[in-house]
This record gives sequence, C-alpha cells and structure tokens, in this order.
Amino acid sequence: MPSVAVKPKQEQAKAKKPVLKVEDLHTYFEVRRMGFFKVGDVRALDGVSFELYPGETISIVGESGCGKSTLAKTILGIHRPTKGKIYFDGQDLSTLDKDGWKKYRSNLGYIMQDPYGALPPFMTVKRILEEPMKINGITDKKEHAKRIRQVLEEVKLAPIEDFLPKFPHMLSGGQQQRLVIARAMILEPKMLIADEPVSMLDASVRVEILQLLQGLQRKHNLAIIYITHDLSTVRYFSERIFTMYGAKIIEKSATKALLHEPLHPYTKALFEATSDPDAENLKTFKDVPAGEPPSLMNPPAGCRFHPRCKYIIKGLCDREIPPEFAARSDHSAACWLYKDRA
Amino acid sequence: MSNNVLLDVRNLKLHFRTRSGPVQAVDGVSFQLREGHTLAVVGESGCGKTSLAKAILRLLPRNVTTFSGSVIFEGQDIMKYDDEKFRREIRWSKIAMVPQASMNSLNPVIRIEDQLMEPLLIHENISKQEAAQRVRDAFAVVGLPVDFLARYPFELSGGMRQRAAIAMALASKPRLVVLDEPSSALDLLTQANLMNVLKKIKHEFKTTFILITHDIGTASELADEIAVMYAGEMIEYASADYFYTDAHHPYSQKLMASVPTLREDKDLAFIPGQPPSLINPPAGCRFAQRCEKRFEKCSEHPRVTSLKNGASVQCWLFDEMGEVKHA
Repeated sequence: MPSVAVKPKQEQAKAKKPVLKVEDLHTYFEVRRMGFFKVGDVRALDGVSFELYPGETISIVGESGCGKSTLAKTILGIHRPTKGKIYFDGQDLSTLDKDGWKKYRSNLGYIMQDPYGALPPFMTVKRILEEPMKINGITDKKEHAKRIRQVLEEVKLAPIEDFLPKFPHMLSGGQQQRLVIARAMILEPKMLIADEPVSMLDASVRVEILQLLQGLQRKHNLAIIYITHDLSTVRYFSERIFTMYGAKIIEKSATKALLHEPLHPYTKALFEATSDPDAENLKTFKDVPAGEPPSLMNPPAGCRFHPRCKYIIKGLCDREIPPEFAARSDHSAACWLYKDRA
Repeated sequence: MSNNVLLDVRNLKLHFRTRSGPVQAVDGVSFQLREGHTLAVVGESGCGKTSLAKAILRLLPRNVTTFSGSVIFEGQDIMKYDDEKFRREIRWSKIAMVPQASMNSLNPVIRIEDQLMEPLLIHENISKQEAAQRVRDAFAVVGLPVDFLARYPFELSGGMRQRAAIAMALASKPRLVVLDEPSSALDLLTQANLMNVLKKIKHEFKTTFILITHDIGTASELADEIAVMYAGEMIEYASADYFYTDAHHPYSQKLMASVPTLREDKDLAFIPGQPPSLINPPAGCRFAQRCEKRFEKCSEHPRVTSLKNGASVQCWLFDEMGEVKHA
C-alpha cells in the first residue's frame, strides 16, 4: 500500500524551525451514564499532525462539530490531549510544570468568535489590557502605559485616551473585536489562535479585522492558526489550508493549489456550497451531498465521509481508513481516490 | 411568472420610543414586489431589515411611536385593516414568516406534527385529518421524511428543524413568505441544501419570497430583485442581474467590494466609519459621512431616482435619470 505522508511545507519555511509541532494528537471526551458508568468516548480529535512556522497562517476549515475548536483548545491547554504530543519551540508541553504553562500561555494569543462574550462587562478597556500583564508579573506602571499605548495604536483604536475609560458595551462590534486582539497582543506572543474571529461581524468590518491581523502578523512575524467555516475568506488570508471532517484533517494544501483544484470530495462539496455574489446562482442548483456529519462516538468504519460520498469505492472506502496521499508536493488528501497519484 | 404586483409598500415608517429618544428603524421605505419573484433585503446589522419584515406583518412591540404608510397586498391596503381583521385574514394565512433562528423556536415538548398543524387549525376551518394531510404535503416539499413528523424537535438536527419551521410557514399556502436569515445559523453544506429546497419551492409553486439576509453571496441564490438598506432607508432597489454586475449607490458598491469571493481574486476593501445612530440620523444623506463621492448637495436629504431597468437609487449622484452628475 503506497502510504506516503509528505508534509507540505512552504519553500521559505523549510530552513526555519517550526514554532508549533503537533504529533498524532487525540482528544477524547468520556461519556458517562448516570455520572458513573463509562459508555464510550466522543472522539473530538482523532489523530492530527502538523507543523506551524513563524510568520505563517494556517486556515482550518470545516463545519461545526468537526473538531476544529477542540484542536484550538487542546493547543491552548484548555483540554488535555488523550494521546499525542504538542511541541512549542521544540519543548514538549506534557513536561511543563505550572510556571512553564504560564509562560507558554503568555506566548499564545487567543481570539474568540464572540467579542462581547469574551470581554468582562464590568472592566474598562484600560483594566482589560492591564490584567494579562499583572497576571504575568509585569508590575511597572510605566511599562503598562507604554504597552497599552502601543497595542491600541496597532489595532487602531484611536484616540487612545477616549477609549481607555470605556466599558465593552460602549464599543461597536468591530471595536470590541479589535480590543480582543489588543488583549491577545499585549504580552507580545509568538502565535495567535483565531477561532472564527469575524463570523459575528458585518461584511464591511470583516475585511478590516482580517487586514488588521495580517498587518500584525507581518510586523511581529506571528504564526497564526485561523479557524473558520467560511472558505471565501481563507484565500485572502492564509498560506496553507487544512480541511477537517469527523475529527481528522482530511486535506492539507497550499492555498493556491487548493483553489486551483480541491482534491477530497468533501472539500469539493464545500467549494460547491460556497456562494459568490453572482446573479447566475439563481439559475442552478448546487450539487452538495445530503446527510449529516458522522457521530464522533461511533464513527463509520473506513473513511468517515464515505456514507455521503458520491465517489465511494465499495469494499475499500467503507473498510479501511485512508492514509494521507500526497498528490503534489504541496497538496495531500486522505482519500483513496488518490492512492495511485501518490 | 406573471407580472402582477403582489405587494406594494409605500412610504412605510416604523419608529420606536426608547429612553434616549425615538429610533427611526424603518424610515420611508417604498418598493414593489411582483408575484412569484423573490426580493432579497440586504444590509448590515441594525439597518432595519428585520424591522421592515415585522412592519409588513404588523408584529410590533409595545414601544412603537410611528407606524404609517401603506402596504397594498393583492390590491387592498392592509394597513387600514384593524388588528383583528389583519390577524384573521392576512397574518399566516396570506403572509407567513420564518423568523430568525426559528429552528430554536419550536416547542420542545410537543411533537412536530402537532406544532405544524396548530396554525392551520386556528386560521382555517378544516378538520384535523385535512390539516394533517396539508402538513405531510408541506413536509414532503421541504424534503423531510414524513415519519419525522411524529418526532420531537430535539430529535432533529439543526438543518431539519429549520426545514420544519419553513414547512410550518408553507403549510397554510401563503402567497408571500418572509424569510428572516433562514440559513445563517446553519453549516455550509446544510445551508446549500436548504437554498436548493427554497429554489425548488420557488420554481414549482411560484411562491413569492422576501429574503432578509446580511449575506450577499447567499442572497444571489434566490433573489430576482435586491434591495439594500442603510440606516433605516432603502437606498437601492434593482434586479439581481443588474445589481450584481453594476451596483449604483456608493454604499452598495463598497458593500460589494467588501465581500470576499472564493472563485476570483479581488482587492478587498472595508468601509471606514460606522452607520449613524437611528436616534438622531443626519438630516441629509445618511451615508454621506462615510462616502468618498459626497458633495455639497449631500447635506440635503436625497430623493429616490428611478433608473433604467426599473432600478431605483436614493443618491444625489443620480438625480437626473440614470445620469451621473458628479463622478
């Protein structure tokens, strides 16, 4: 069986060391009946591996329940992995003690979907931005003021003096999200995890926030994991795209290669389902698979997409789990259709 | 498709009273909708799209200060009906609505079938058997297996519940269905499947829809006409063909430029600034502060100008029929 798992890398990134390395990561949640008898596991993350380089953005696309947020939360240390390893700057996270975790987390910025829910309603902008510094042992008031000024300038919340005494509810949605980004940036992290950062914002503000993140990335050489269900924003914003389905990464690709030709039938369906603004759409029906994503307690045998897939190879797809086939140097898919192209 | 005008809205106003002053949620909206056509109302949050739908269906909260204008439906001015007549003759029997997040509005302890039959039994003088049959038909139309009718809402997935909510609106065979963000809470594939279903209903039954959405991409799946709302006003109305290739109002153009596209590469641009407060909107054009093309005239309130192809735009740039005066 030709099972070549070539990791797509960017040319310029090859020489650099990855800031984050994830190896065969599994996160299971136990399901208990009556709070006592274990009846099974929800396999929210089932064998995910990749490397992330400084200055690079990886987009992770997929529908709700595919495990993309579990991946983010496992990397953040909110969930402990059941199996597998995470390395940050070469260090294994499972070996960290309490102080080590604190230091690791200060190197990570987290941007959530709902900015209002992510901001404490009773704190002013100034206090919200001071909090991470206090927790991480930066006590110098002058340093506080300097950093706050710097991040607010970076996220373009100006004039700064007007914003400092404001409470989150006094800001618009876009401003709230910029404050969340400012808070994520205040400890000068090496990496940002943005979980659906623009899905609750209006179209005209979305682009502004994404361009802001891009600007910060260039300036600080940040590594970014951008989690989204919206395929149309990824082309403007990332170097690589991973597609997740049923708790696994099923396609890894450089953005250009994916836009040229998506390989996995599920990614193809996502492409088909995305509507660009075009009056011609009215005249055609979309060719998308019916059905629902699989249960993660009892996932189907073989490829998890096979019950919905129109290219199914009977006897293979419904029996054996497809490995990652590299169809091109920068593009691989976990799908039996590509076993001969590898 | 016939060319009969089913709905003719003229100078519709809906203002609310709040502690900080009156909010002009819908302020002088006029449009016509032909039978069998779909009008997509697009705009950003807080622009008055949902208030417009609620004003048409007269689903009003208690703090309304102004509710005026005329809504001519099937040739009758339904604004003149009293509340009881409106409830009996119009709401749900002729104009139905699928409100935002309606998939979460189903009662969890009542079977789907009983919930879907309820409006039919209240509004129409029919037997339970007939109502059950109508509900089964509506279920088949939205592509759900009929045996799911006996289930409770929690036994259905989000996409299925949304379809059930749409079936509930269709069961009474209304002539106009208002869909408020029908697909925005759903996953991508589920959303595409739902748009297929709505398209099929539109083709087969010639149902007239008003589709309210913030997603200009999805709107193009169903819309024959597009209306853009900004700060309580309808600033542009055009056929979809015309709008998607050549939007006129500076706001519409900017909005189109801010929408990322999957299939073509374009330079994305955002709109700086924020929409004005609806409590004390500026006297002139409400978009003027954010508009790159503003000139002296924009401090006066712009008139609605009719352009060719039945489009209309509320902007001083087009004050002479289809002619750009100041580019």
